[in-house]
Amino acid sequence: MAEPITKISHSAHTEKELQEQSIDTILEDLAKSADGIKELIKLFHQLHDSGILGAVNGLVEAKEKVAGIAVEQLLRPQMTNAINNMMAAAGVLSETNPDMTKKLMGSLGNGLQRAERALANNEKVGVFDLMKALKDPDINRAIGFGMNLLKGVGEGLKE
Amino acid sequence: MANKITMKINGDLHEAEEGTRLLDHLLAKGVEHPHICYSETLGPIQTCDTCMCEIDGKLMRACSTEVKEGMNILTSSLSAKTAQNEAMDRILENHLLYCTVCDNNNGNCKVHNTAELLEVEHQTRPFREKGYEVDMSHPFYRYDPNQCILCGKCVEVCQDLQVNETLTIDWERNMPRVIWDNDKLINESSCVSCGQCATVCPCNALMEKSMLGEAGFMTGIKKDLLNPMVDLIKEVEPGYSGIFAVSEVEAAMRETRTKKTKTVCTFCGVGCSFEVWTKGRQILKIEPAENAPVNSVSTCIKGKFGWDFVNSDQRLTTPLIRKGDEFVTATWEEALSLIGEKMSRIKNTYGGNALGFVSSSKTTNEDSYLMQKLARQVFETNNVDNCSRYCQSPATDGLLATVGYGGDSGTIKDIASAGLVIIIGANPTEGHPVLATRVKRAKKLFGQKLIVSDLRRHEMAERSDLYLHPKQGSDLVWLAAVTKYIIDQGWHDEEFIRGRVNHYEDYLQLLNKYTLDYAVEVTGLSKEQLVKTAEMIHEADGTCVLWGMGVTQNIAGSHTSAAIANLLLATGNFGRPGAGAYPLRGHNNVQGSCDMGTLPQWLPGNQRLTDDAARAKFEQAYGVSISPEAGFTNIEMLQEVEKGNLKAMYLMGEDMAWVDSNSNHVHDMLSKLEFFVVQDVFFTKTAQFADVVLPASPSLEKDGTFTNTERRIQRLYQALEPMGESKPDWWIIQQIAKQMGTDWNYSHPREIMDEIASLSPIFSGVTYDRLEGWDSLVWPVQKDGRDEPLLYTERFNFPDSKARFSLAEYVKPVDYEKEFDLILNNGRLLEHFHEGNMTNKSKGIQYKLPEVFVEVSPELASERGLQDGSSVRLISPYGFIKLRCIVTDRVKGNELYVPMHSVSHENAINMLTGSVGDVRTQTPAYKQTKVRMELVHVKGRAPLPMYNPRYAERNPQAGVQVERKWAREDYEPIADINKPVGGRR
Repeated sequence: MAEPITKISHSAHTEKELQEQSIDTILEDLAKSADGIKELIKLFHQLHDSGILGAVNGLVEAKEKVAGIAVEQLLRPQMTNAINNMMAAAGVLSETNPDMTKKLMGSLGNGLQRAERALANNEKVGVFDLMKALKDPDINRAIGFGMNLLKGVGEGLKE
Repeated sequence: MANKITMKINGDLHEAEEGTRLLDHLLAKGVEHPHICYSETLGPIQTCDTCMCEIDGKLMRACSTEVKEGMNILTSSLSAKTAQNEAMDRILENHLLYCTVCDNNNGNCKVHNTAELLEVEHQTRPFREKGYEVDMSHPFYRYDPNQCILCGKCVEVCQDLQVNETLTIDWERNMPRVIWDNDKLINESSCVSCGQCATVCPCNALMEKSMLGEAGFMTGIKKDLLNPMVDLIKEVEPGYSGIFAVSEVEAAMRETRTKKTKTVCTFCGVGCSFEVWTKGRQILKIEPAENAPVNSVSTCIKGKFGWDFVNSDQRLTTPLIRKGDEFVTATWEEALSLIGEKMSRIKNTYGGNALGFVSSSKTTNEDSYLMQKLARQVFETNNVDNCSRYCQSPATDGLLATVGYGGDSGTIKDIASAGLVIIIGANPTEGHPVLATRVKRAKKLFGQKLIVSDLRRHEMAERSDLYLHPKQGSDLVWLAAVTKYIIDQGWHDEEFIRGRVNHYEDYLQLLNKYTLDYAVEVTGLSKEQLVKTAEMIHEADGTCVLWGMGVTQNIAGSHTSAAIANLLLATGNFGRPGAGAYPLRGHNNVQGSCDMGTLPQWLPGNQRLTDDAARAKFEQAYGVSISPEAGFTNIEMLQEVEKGNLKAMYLMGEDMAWVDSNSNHVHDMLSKLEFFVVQDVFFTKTAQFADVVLPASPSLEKDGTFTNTERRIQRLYQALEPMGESKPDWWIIQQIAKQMGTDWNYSHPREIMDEIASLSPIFSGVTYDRLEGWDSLVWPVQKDGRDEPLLYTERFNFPDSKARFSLAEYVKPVDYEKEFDLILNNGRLLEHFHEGNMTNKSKGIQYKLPEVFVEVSPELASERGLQDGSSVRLISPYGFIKLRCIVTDRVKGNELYVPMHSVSHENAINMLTGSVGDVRTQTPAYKQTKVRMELVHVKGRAPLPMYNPRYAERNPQAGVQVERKWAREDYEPIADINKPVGGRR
């Protein structure tokens, strides 16, 4: 006779075996990537020793508050303006020919170098130097570029 | 075939069938074209206006325009584009694009994708809220009016596809919105929680609650942080392309985390398939798809929302072994070696026939096949049966005797296209909800006629053109009388009968006594009702008969099933579309488990055990000799336990202790077994009697196939890892065989199906490759993969290709002592499945329908002084139960109704049912139960909460009624032509 029974007791040894089984699979996984794990442990040590881990933990624990503060900050008009500015700037930049930008940035760097040298020599510039400089093809090219740039901006402002 | 026409689209010549919808043509040709409210299933509902085209100079919708010869169509001319953008602008006034933090951002959001396709950068009408609260009242889904774009797809499915008729859009109010009934909370409305509105919603206005805060990486953020973030996006006002880019990155991230797996539903035999979306073990939602062959986007409460049981903490997660008066957890090794040892000893001592094997109609074909293989090959016994013995065997028997295949004659499409549907002893809106929707739709939209014969005035009876309420167990008589009347009137199909049916003369002879007068006397129906039935069959272009347990669970359910086939044969209603016999299989794999030969007298592939050639084939494959003698049915197994001949049982996936009739007797028998193995997902009542309990994995945790009521074979894929130490049934059975020294060595169910196909002619063309994804096969399947959705077009399944009239006679219902004065009808309710082991783990379902009850008629209530909530004791010769009452006119006179969803001694229906069964199949006559009633307390809490939809009233109307939108003063037409076509109508 098998009376209906409802009592279920957890055999300690099966529980233990199950636990061991899952530990075994984890160990297996660990062994497969031993090198990576070692590096990870090293990284953890460094993060811990430097206090970074603690800080990150704190940040993550307070994630909602932190995010709240961040969003509040972002919502201030100065910030929304800044974001809008950045996005507008990004928009213009994305319309500009990158080759030209590259050339311009290179030229700017070159100019800065020369200017720095001149500054170091404490060179004085007179009116005559200015006139002479206009005839210098390099300077002339830059001024031409600047004048046209100003004209373009002026046109843009008119719209 | 329709005529081919030529038209010009964007300058290119296109050919199409006349009458094709332009949008369908564009999509088929891979032309991306904006559209939101249209879907193939629902047809053009014309609410979103985004699919505008310029056709011969006029602005027209691509969805509702049928192509004509010579049309000149421009899909992206300036005026078409302007119109599309104007439409989208109006939509975005109603919908805030916070996609990245929206749970619907899963790559399939129609609003998002359409706005992106239209390259919307800014909107001219700013978004504004509508001023309504979000409705969170329902346990399974919520409505956010402020995100609702008023496309009305939800209304369209509710009114015309599910046909529950709860949702409408109140177009006339200042700020239109979707309303439930007459503007009630969702939870208090007539909503039956089918979830189709949430499924078809093209945005996040209607969402499954299981998705909220779970689907996205950032959607779990609390309101007080989320709102400022949304504000931030608005303040910053980037172009929408920027927003879309970010949200797409996030959607792509979700793709890596959300797993989408196709599965087949297990809550009835209709065979709905859908994707289940999971995140780890968590079920995010059920996502039906239009390409699902049976259900398209349709589901019921259980299929859409009833899967909590899979993650229940009550799941069996280790094997259990009986030790003294307790079960002790065990390893698989321990459990299997104990089973091997005990069962070997019993086999060696008493022979294989001392063991019985019970398969389940809920496990896969592969699981079932292995259960019979274990019995026949390893234990060399035919003592194998499955739980369809409790429900559908009589229907199968009746069809085998008349037309030759024990299955539905056609598919759900035939039911939908029939001129007349007759439902006998079945309640499909609750038992087979999605199938019922197709009948309701055909009736509402296409004028299909409906006759319902049932004791209970359920929803289909309410909707019927003719409701018959015959005396319990008398259906055969009216069926025969109506058939006789039809033949007497000359309305039968003489040519069909003469050419394709045997025993006509004998049958006419038999019919002689089934006169209308005799039928009136036996059934209690009126002569007018009988004549009307005959007339409706005569007038109908195709008749389908659907039947269920109200027919089969009787003392002569198999005879009545055959009488149904007789009626259809006499009227030529076999072998043509929109006609035939449709026993509604109650579980997902009733058909399959029988097809797989888990039957004492049948081999897999519906081959008779007595067929020498078939047996020889299996003998060769299995390497054992197989007896032509039928084994024991479930019922006989228990009888043999009593006689001491059956010593051990191995039972899979069935709570026999509650599901078999006369529970007290069953409990006694189970406790007499020498050795009993039960394999289930839960620790059931039956498991309490076991010596070893094995933890099985439910459908979502395994691969395999199911065969639905249409004979359609569909694949299910593993969505989740088996929980704990639970295992797929096929794996377990294979291990038991191995313990017994037979190593089958299957590594995947695919290999099992290959073996089935190799041994069964009707499955010879079935392969997993042919069942990939949404593909399915309706057996019989030829080697080349050709299947047969509609049977009997050329031959009936007999050697001479001819059907046979059944000559079975009416058998009177079981007699009861006079004191048992009330007829106890019993069966299902929509919310729960079977005894409830699975669905009672769902909080939402328990909330909507917490307990079983007894329905009493207003007449009986006033006679006995009963009211809603009164508790009564019902006493039959076999036992008693206590329940609370609901007074309802769904039942009549001295007839009661008790749902079967209980696993409690207090109120499980089978404490009352008896042991008498069908004369041919032994299926218990559950429906022929009589009781007497004792009043315990008059006053008490009503057992059905007021927020159960049964208390609410439906609000039928034809679809979403876009013409009311167009009639609004503030509606400026975009299209030049606005003509309602109302979906598919």
